[in-house]
Amino acid sequence: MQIVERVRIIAKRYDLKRKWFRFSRSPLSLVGLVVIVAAIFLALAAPYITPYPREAGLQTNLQDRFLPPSSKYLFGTDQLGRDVFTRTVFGFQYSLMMAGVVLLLVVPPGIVLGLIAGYYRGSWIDTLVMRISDVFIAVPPLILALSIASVLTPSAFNSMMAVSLMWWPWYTRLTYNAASALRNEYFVQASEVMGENSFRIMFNEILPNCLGSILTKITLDVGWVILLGSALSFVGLGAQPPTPDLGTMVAGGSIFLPGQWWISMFPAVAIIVIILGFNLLGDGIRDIFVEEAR
Amino acid sequence: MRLSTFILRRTGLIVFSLVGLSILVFVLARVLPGDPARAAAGNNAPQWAVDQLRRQLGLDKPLYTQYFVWLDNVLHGDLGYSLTTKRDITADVIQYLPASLELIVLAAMFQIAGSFILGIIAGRYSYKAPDNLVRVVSYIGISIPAFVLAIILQLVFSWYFKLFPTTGELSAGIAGPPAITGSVTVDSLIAGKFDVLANALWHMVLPALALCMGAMCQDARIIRSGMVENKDKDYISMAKSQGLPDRTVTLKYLLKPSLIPAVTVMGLDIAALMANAFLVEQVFNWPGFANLGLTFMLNKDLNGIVALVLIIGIMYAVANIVVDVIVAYLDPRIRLMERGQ
Repeated sequence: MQIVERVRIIAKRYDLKRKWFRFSRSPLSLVGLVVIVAAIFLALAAPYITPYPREAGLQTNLQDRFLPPSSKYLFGTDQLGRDVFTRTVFGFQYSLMMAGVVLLLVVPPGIVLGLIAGYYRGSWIDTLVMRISDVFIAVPPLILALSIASVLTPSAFNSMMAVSLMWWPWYTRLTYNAASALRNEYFVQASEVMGENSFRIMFNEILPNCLGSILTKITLDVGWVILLGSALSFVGLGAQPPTPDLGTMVAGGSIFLPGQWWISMFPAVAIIVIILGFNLLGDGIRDIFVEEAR
Repeated sequence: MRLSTFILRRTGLIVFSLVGLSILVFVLARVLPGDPARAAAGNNAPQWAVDQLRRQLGLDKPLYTQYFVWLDNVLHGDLGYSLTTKRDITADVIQYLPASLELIVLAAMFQIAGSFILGIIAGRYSYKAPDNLVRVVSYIGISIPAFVLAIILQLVFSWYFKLFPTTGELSAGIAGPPAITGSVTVDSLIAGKFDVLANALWHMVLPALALCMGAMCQDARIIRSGMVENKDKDYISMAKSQGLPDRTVTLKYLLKPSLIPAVTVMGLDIAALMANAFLVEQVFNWPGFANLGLTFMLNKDLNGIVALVLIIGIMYAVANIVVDVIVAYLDPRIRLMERGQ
């Protein structure tokens, strides 16, 4: 018994090593990983490593307004004399929190609904769940998120709710497709014949086989959620000033273009970098699973 | 399944989704805190005036009655009254939608042309310098939110190089053509004023680019990967060994099978350009439907928001059906299935 256990552990370790090898072969994936690790570190350490952490909130410094980038203010200062570098680093906190909260709220219910609909394929549960999910994808995601955010009171929290409310159908559909294909496999039928509980079959037999594609979608979605969140803030339906949200900062600074370009351009570049990082990382992770499926 | 049955079935499903969508937004707009009658009457209005307005707007009736009254009006072409623009929303839509549509049409042209050119170059020279360049560029293009790109384009090409105008539809001093359709480009064509047309197009280049960049890069990647996937197949080696010119092999044999996934995504991307318009029109101060929609949203104009979701839903649905038909036309396997072979 013990030997079997040990072989299993070694096999698992070998499998992880192989995955890492596949991932690390692509320099772009590694760049993505480095960018994301750096962004998460900056977000967590923001209060300790930024030069003027109090300016992320309400504090202003009016005698230093509109200063161009210098060694004192790395990214310059904005219309209230706040350090743009400090606020950009704090902006990562909001972007990452947006992605984290939305995916945490959306992925579990999306998967459960998709599993149930896929397992009871052809029944009224399937029809009900899938037709409701159709409703949510009948318009582009941004439009529905904007509309929902606009009937709520604009805030960072409500924009997360708005995005979550329209994002679950994508996970439901993904899981549904995988689950309804697996539903007729022999191992599922075998469990059914042995009288296994339906929920056990869904979660112990079918779900583990869908995890690869779900995980890939999650990593690819992080970038999209951040993009959507920053778009909501940009049009004024997300986080409100003085919150150091990247989208809000781009919107607020764009009034001072082209003269004081640094107020909006540094947060804008920060948005691009973080989304790019997650896209590169997500593609790297997808490559692992795609090759495994072959 | 015959094509007509297929389209009918799809249309049925889409009508169902649209009704569901309108119920969703309608209920959200009514259930959430906030009193539309109070908002309409203003903060200082006496209570009896608010109550009177509530009766007038039908807001005292149960929710489902309100919904059916609204639905009945919509089916008669009446989208309701906007408290923001102080007039019928149908009139607003007729005035502002054409300006958005012309922008989207130009953006779609850029998107299709750009994605084919980039995709074919990358696919033809896969894993060589041109391919690597296209891949890096398209990664960045996908990762830039439309509003960030809009601001960057404006900063670089309008403010710095002064190649394009910064905002608006026409330069100051140029008289617009007589309004017939509401779209400046079409109207100036009808009036035969080509200088106005050129000026309008000149104003549209940057917004259209900002609109379509993400979709263009994504489509280019799909075309590329389709071509790369087929590159090692036997029929390509066969075509090459028979001495067919490189151009024929690339464009006819490699590109064609890559078209089916590309067209599917491309069609949906074009339909989604309307969403990006919400981020781009504002930056370029474009007098379009998305700008109007944002005004509705920022003022919590519930009638306006419901109307705009519905209209975009219809546009999206039509695009979906068109994509399905084109794909059915492109893919012989689907066509053969229709004939029951």
